[in-house]
Amino acid sequence: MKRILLQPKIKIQSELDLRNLSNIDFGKKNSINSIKILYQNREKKLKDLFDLKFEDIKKKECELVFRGLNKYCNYLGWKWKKNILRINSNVGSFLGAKMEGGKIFVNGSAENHVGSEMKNGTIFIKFNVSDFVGASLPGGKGGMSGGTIIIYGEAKDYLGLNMRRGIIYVNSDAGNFSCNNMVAGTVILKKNVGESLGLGMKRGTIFLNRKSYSNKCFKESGGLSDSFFGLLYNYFLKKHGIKFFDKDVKLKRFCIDSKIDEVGELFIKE
Amino acid sequence: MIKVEDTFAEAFSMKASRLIITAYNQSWAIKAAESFCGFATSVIACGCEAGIESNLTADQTPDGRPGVSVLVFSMSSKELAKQILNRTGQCIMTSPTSAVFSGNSGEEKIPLGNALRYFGDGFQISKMIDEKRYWRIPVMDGEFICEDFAYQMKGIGGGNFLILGEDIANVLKAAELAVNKINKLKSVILPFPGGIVRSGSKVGSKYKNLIASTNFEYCPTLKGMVKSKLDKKIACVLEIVIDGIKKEDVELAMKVGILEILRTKSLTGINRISAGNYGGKLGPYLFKLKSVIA
Repeated sequence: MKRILLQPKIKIQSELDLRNLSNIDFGKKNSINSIKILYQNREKKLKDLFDLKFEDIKKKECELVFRGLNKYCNYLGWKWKKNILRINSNVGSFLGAKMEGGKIFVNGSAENHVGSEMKNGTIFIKFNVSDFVGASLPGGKGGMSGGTIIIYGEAKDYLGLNMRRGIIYVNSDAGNFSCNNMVAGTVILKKNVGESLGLGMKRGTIFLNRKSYSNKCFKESGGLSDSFFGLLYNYFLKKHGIKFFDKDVKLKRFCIDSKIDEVGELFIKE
Repeated sequence: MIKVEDTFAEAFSMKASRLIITAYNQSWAIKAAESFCGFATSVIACGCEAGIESNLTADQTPDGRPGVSVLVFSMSSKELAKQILNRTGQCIMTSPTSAVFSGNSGEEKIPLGNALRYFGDGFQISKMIDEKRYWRIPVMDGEFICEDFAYQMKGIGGGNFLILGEDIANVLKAAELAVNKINKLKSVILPFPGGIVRSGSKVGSKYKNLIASTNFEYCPTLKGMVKSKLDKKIACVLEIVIDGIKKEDVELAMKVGILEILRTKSLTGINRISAGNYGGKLGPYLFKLKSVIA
């Protein structure tokens, strides 16, 4: 398999649109060098802005590895289909938006709209993200419809807005208006969450690692089946090496007020 | 000295599927599995043949609870799907704390939670985890978790061998020894009660509507009345029927079972090991006893 290492030749100080990199053909050096990218709203060739290094690796998937990016570098992993995208720095907005498969690793923080409208695949963010994780894109109706987003740091507001399917895991705090208008899917929030959690939620599941949460939309409604908990526990542990909750944790279930006629649910610690 | 006859067992292709049943503890997983596998000894009248393949520890199941692996075999895809769905609905879903998952992958899907979800009457919840869909159906002890689909795979039914002896005590003892040994193998099941069948059948009957009838050649009480395969000394015959996923699985199970009988020195009153076949007309798999144990 191939690995391509990319490092900017200049300090990026303005918006850089990298969405065309998702169509990369790892076998064709020449075509990679001349992939068109938008910098300061002008079309440039990839080789004009980046130093490229090609390597052969003994792995099952090809890798595209970036260094030295910053918050201006947007649309990386846009409609990403397969292989691995690795970013060893911070990155801008729309990371993995409309992603269809493969994996994205960010060894830093990301800006807005991480995994917005993604369909499949996995995104790992080592540090923090801004608003609209897994949400709908501006003007879009539905949020992410599959895949997994794992954030080891914090997430800001509107996490999972309009989310339709998939899993979002936030290891630290999440901001206001999380899971608003959620249609389905699973969101796991390991620490604090801001105000207005789950407003307008239709279906879907929220796990909150807290002992109390006051929200008039939710009514107490039983517990969690150990089989469903076991499925999630095994998925996170075996696939991502994450202990999503203690195995013997007791969780209390709250559901959306039955007057609203929906089956959204919230689990908090007993 | 037990004689192994120079004959063959005749087996045929079947459609198969593997299910993983889990529960709060091993005992309840076994109860659910046994209920599922009830009345599933022969495709002649049960619709399918099913049995417990193995017990599973918590780390071998998708939801981290103790469980049981079950194999189901049927003659057609349609019948297999029907049997799996009905039995899951009536025997697993009804069993306390149970959950059910597919134990194999494949191209052909068999609706499981996909059909059973309607029992939830609109309160069912679907969850996609690792590209698999699971259904959470509310029931009186909490939730019944059920994978969306089971999957069909190829299987082989009708691997067998016959134990011929002088009295029921010794033949039964020999059969039990073989069953205990075969039950330790994966990818095979013994669908009959305790793994042993006494009413071996032949294809057809003198009665028009009957597709199978007693295998008179091996019935001790018919000696002298029909062309019997039993000599004077033999007063009892028991059969072990084996269904498996691959030819090699069935072959290994036959070998292990027969060798256990041949090697147990304390066994007395066993004269011959034979096998049931239909002259090669029934199925494409012929297991020659001599080569199986070689």
